[in-house]
Amino acid sequence: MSEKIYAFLFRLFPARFRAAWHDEALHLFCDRARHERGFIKSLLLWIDLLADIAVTLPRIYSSEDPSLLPAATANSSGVPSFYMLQRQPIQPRSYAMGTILSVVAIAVVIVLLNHGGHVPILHPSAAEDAGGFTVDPWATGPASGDGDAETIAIGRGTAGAAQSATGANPGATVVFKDRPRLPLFDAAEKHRVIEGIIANLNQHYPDAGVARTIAGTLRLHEGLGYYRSIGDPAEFAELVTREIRESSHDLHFEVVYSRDVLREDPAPAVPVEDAIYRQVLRRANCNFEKVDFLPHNVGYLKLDSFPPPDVCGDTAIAAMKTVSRADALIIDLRDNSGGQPEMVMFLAGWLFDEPAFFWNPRENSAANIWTHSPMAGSGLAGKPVYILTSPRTWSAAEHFSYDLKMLHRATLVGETTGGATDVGVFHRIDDHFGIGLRESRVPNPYPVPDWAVHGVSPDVAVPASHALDSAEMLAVQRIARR
Amino acid sequence: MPKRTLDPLPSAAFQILLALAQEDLHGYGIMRQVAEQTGNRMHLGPGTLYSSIQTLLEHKLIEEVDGPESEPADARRRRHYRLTSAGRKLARGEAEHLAETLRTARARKIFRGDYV
Repeated sequence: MSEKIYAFLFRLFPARFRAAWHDEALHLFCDRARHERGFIKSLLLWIDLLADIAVTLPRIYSSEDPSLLPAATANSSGVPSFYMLQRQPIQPRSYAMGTILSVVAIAVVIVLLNHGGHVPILHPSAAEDAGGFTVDPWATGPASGDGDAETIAIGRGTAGAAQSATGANPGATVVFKDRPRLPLFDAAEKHRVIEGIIANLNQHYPDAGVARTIAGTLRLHEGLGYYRSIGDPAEFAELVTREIRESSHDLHFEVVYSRDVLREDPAPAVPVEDAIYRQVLRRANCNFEKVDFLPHNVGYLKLDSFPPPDVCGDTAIAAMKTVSRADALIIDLRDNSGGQPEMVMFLAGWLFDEPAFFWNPRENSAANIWTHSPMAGSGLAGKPVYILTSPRTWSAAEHFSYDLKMLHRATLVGETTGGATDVGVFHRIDDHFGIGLRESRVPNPYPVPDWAVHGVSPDVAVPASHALDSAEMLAVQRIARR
Repeated sequence: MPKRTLDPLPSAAFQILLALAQEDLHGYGIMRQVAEQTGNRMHLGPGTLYSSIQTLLEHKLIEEVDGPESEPADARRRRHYRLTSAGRKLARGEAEHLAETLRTARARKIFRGDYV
């Protein structure tokens, strides 16, 4: 038995050496094995033989081919190198063995890929949204200071797009569910998303020419391999968003990636939840935080959202009637994170004595972009209005500020607003991707772009913390001039 | 196959030359003779032994001969080796070199006594 083992080990030596010395070496082994009996001697014999093989193998191989000797010493950089140790041609059996091993290795890899589980796509936001509820990626809001963004709006279309991330939404739903298993983010998925974007553009975007330009750009970039190295789906969404905006010169586009599965249809508002929501909103005075009068009969209204008029209409009317007695009005939107466009139009109506064109990039109906001025009981038409803004002024609050600035109806005091991009309609592409785009066919009549991305700049730029003092001073001066 | 260099002469090759200086031997015989003449400090394994023999054969320092008549038939069939005159000359030169080294070491008084 031990002779066979040694014969097997001797196969490690080069063919030429084996051919010359195989029999002699076996004779030698047998002689030694015969004379070195007993456990200790046999053990020492095997140690001796194994050490001999380990020491002599490299030397014999290098003497078989001298190019190996310098290569072995020169190649100390760690770079692998390969040398043919056999001088005889490779036998067909070796080719067959190599082929079989390759096929087995490939099969093992394929089986592991298909059944060994998916590689999770990790995203920095994973830690943040560890709560495990489904969110509508379109209902994004600013990083509000009060941090009450746990109620996430789920909606579609004009109304859905305008919903706030601050709880000012009657149809808000929070759906707790198990963390979904993420699919592989591969070239096929990227292709599906690109084609999904193009399909939505063709179907919904009002300018067919621009839609074709975007489609051509995306397909070209995909063909050139621009997206090949991107492994993070959120990064992919950001890149495609930038490319679409550059290609179209329309900042309302936004490709969204959601780690959680996007619902195919928004859940209908549940009456019980709706009732609770109304109750909570009314208890908070509909986010009309403060209605006050400053010295010199300057009215002050601090509004932290634009709640739905059907819930908060009475509160809004009461507040606006109160401040109508003022000689000038300061509307503080520094902490206003958005809400319903209907409330935007409702409040704006109090500032005019006739219907005013109030452009809305979300709105496709010309009938809905005129205020219902004059409002009964309003005494504000023609009085000076100042709006306080900050980077936390967001979405619907930007809509309100932008149009009043464009209409020269209000003076904006403070800092540039946040620049919300939820000014279009969100369309689901697949479980994790969607696109928001402007569907309005009513062109923006103003030479200044709307608030998307860049926000609305103030007329009087002061730190947001000093905005009230500045506005009050301006209001008093204005009243004095009148 | 290229020849392995014998300058300097490897220790195993020198011991094999010394083992064959007295009589013709086969592989196992060489191994035992080397173990004996080195005080069991050197046990040549098959790889070392036959790669050294191969080198010595290529340099014609030893040659392959038939086994002596006095050995049993099965032992006679094994390959025996004999020292050539070139091998003997090389072994002598190596021994003289070692002797010179020994004299130098002795002159430098690195030994503890005069018994060497």
